[in-house]
Amino acid sequence: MEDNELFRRLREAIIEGDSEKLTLLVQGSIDKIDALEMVEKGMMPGMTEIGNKFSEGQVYLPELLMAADAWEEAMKILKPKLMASGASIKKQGTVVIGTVQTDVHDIGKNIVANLLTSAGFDVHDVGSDAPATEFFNKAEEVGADIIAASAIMSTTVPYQKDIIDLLESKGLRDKYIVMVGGGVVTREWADKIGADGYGELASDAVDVAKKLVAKKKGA
Amino acid sequence: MGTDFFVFDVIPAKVDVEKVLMQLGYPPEACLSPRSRENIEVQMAETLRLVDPKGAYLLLEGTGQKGFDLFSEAEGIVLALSTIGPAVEQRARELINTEHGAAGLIVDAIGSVAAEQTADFLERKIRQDCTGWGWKVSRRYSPGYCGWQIEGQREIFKRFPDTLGIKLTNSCLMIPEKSLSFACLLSTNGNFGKVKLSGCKKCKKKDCPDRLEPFIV
Repeated sequence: MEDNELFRRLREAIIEGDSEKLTLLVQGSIDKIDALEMVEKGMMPGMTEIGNKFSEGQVYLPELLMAADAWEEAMKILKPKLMASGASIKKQGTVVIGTVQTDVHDIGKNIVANLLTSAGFDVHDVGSDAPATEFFNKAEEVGADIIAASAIMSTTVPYQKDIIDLLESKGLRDKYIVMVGGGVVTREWADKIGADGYGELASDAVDVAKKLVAKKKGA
Repeated sequence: MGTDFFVFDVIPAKVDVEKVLMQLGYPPEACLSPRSRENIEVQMAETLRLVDPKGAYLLLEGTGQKGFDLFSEAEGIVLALSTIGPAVEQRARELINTEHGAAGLIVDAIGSVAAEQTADFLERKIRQDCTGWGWKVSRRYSPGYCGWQIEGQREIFKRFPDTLGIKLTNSCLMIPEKSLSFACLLSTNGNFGKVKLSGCKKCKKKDCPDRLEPFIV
C-alpha cells in the first residue's frame, strides 16, 4: 500500500471510530512506515476532522468518543515504537484533572480526560473526592499547564474555589490555568471564582484547553 | 394509612431507546451511522441485564410536615426513593477506564434513562394507590431541582433509614448514583397549597416541560 493511501485509510478509520480497522492498519504497517508519520499524517488529521464535524453538529459525543477510543487502541501499538525511536508527538499541554473533594461523580470527568488525551494532551488524573492539595501537588510534580476540576453538585462546587484559593495563598495563581466544569457549574460561577476556563459540556473541554494553552504560551 | 411504608423490589426494567438517544445528545432528526446504532443496540441488550429496579414510598398525612416547609400547605406528602442498583454505573466506569469511552457513555445514558423510568413507574404506582384512597396527587418534585435545595435530601433520607441499599453522602449525593428521590403532594380537593419553589425564573433550561415560571433572561 502506498504511504498516502495508508494515511488516508488511517484518517478514515479514526473518523469512522473503527478501532478494529485502525488497529489492523497500524499492525500491518508498523514495520514498514514510520510510527510518527502514521500519527501525524493519518490519525491526527482524522481527529481534527471528527472534531470539526462535531463542532458543526454533524456528529455527536458518542462518535467523538468512538474516534478517541480508536486512537487509544492504536496508540497502545504505536507508543513503544515511538519511544524506541525517540520520537514524540507534539504535546498540546499537560493537564491535571479530577473531581473535587466530597464529590464522587467521575464519568463526565473521565470522558473529558479521554478526549484531552486523544487531542494530544498529557493527562494526569487525581481521581474523585480529591482535595485541593492533591490537585496542586500533582500539578507541581508533573509541571502541569492546566488544572481541571469537575464538580456535579451545588454542595461540592465550592471546592473548586478551594483550588484557586490554594494557588493564591502560595503566590502561584498565575502559574496554572484553572478550568472548571460539571453539572451545576456555570460561566457565572467560573467568573466569580476567578477560573480561567469553563466548559458547559464535556466536549467543550478540548477547544477551551487548546485556546488557554495557546494564550498562555503566546503571552 | 398514617406513615405507611411500601417497598417494591420487582419493577419491570424498561428503557426507551428514543430517550437514550436524547440523553446522548442526538436531536430527533439525527441520522445515526450503522456503527453508532449497532453500539447502542449492543449496549442496550447488555445493560438491561444489569438494571435492578426497586422503589419505596411513604405517606405523611397532615399539613406542616417537619422539614418540608416548601410544601407546608399540602394535606399530605408522599416521599419516594427509587434506584436501579449499582451495576450499571460500575459497568460504565469500567468501560471508560479501559478506553471504551463511547460504550461507557452509552451505558451511563441507558442507566440514567432506566433510573428515570423506574421513578416514573413508582410515581404511577403512588398515584394509583393514593387515588384509590381518595387523594389527588401532584406532580413529583425532587431536591436539587426547581428551587428545592439539594439539602432537602437529608429530610427525605431521615424517613428512609437503610432502604433499598441507597446511602446519602454528606454532600447529599445518593449512592448508587442512579437513584432518585422525590415528593408528591396530596390533597382531597386538588388544591395542593402554595408550593414555595422559585427556581424556574433563573433556570437556563428554557424548554423544560415542567417549567413553573417564565424564563427571565
